[in-house]
Amino acid sequence: MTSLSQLPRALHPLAWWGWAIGLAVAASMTGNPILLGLIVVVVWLVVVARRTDSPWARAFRLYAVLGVVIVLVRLVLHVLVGLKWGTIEVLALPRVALPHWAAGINLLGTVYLEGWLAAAVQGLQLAVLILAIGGANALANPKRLLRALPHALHEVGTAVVVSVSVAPQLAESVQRVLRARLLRGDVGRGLRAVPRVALPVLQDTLDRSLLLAAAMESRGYGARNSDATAAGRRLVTGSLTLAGLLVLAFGMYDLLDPTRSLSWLGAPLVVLGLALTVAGMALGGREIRVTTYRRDPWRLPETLTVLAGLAAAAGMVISKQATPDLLWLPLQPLAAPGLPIAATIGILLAALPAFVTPPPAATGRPRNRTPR
Amino acid sequence: MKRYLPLLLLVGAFVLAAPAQAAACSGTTGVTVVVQFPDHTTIGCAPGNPSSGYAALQEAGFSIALAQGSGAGALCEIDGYPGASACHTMPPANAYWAYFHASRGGSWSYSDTGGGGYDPAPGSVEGWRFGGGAAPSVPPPARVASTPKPTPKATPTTRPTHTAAPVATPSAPRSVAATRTPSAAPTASPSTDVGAAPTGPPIPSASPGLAGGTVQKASSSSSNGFAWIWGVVLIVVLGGAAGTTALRRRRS
Repeated sequence: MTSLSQLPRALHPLAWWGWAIGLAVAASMTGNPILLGLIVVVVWLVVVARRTDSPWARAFRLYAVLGVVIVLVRLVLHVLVGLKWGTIEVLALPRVALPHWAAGINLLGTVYLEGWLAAAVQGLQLAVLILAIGGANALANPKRLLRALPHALHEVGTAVVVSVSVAPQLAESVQRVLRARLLRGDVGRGLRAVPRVALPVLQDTLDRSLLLAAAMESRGYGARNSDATAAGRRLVTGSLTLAGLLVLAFGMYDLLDPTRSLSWLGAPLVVLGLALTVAGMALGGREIRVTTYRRDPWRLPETLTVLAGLAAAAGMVISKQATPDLLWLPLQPLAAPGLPIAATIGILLAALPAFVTPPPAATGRPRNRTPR
Repeated sequence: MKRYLPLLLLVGAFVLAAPAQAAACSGTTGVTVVVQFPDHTTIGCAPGNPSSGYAALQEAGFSIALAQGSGAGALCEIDGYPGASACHTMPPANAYWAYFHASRGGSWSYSDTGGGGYDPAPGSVEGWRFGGGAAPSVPPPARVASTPKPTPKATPTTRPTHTAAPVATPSAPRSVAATRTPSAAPTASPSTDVGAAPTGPPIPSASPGLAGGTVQKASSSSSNGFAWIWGVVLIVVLGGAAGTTALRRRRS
């Protein structure tokens, strides 16, 4: 990779999330299989070029599998209960007659190519969206992301980080223990081997949890003032944040639902909700003091990465204005998909982080280094 | 014989479609289709037994388009109305083509299935109205069907003028008789239409209309051309780069 002669380091996690959200926005706006395929290979290229050896980075394969499953489920569901339409017959199945009160559900029935393709494109759209988020998950270290969160969200963030990273870490523990057993010549398989694997894995997981807990405590997480004023302040913080989020939800609903008659209420409610939430978080953040051992710098590669993600979304918006028909697979009549210029260039720009970001540190974090 | 089969089919389609231009169906067969646009109402007849609500619309001479994206399969346009970007998502709940069934001389009832999954019985009436789901304000055509009731737009007088001037006279876009493209022969390519025009002297005006409509549609969709090949090439190149990177990192 021709990087700009930078020392290996991990990119700021928020940069990867910005990049992935840009791609996800782009994917949610198009039903053109060519563009969706381009997004898939761009995400794959960047992930493959810039991921570390960490357990969450290896989970990317799981997201890919999930995407394939989503498309397949969508195709099967279309055959089972989908609204069949089109002109080109693919599967001539008998239609199961349903009683009057269940009318509108087409159980089986002749499957047409157009309807099936539309279903496949819808499934592909969701799959690509999930793949983009999976890319961010593979590239950004969730524990480092925790530091970038607002202080008031630390408790929620800690829970999320622990739950997100426990499954891949467990899988990695199992792999390590199995490898160690093989090296010692212990080749027992089947049920008898379970206790010999499970015990070290449990011990490993417990050790790591204790390490993480100790590290977090030493940096100030979980420290709380227990006097009365602090308790009162916590109450104010909690109610402010909760009320803000509720108002925000109502405002969004009012704003986005075109059939609502009270739509003039939407914008003020959103502003009020945002203000309440920010106030609550600022108040809560004052209470928690956390130190940071290694700060994540925000330099040029981080900005470039976020801009690359934004370029994909912006290209899609431009194409939607200029040539909205090219953003969808033409189904009526069925034809080859087009290639909108702006959207294509935007997605190609999103591949830039594979080249302009510093390469990842060779072995991830030395402390978590896996024996090889 | 086989060579002329498309021509025969085409002519047959025109003959079949001819009564469609005269408002409600005259007999007990055929499905009458009432389409209420915001500014006018058009009535057509789909002869025979159309297989679905969409087919009845098309065979009655209306052109339809189905929505894409989240609303894939839903009807979004009849005769190009409401047009613009209506077909890129599911039509909103306050501006869509509501679908109704009725018997001749009966009353409208809101359909609980989509037009693609409902098989209208011969002799019944299908209603479509653009808006927020209100029933068509015109009642379903009466049961007495001895003389076809002329519709506001589909005046029978338009036909003679077209036969008198067989050259592609650009008729008024909303005029029912001329712009209706009988889609009973949707597979006919534009070239055969042009060839078929001289063989069907009684209805020459329908042919240029059909040919024009089809050509326009074809050109708009084939303007994508082979751009998708470039897209596939890009995908293969980027995928190859990703694959080699993955292999190299696995080895190191």
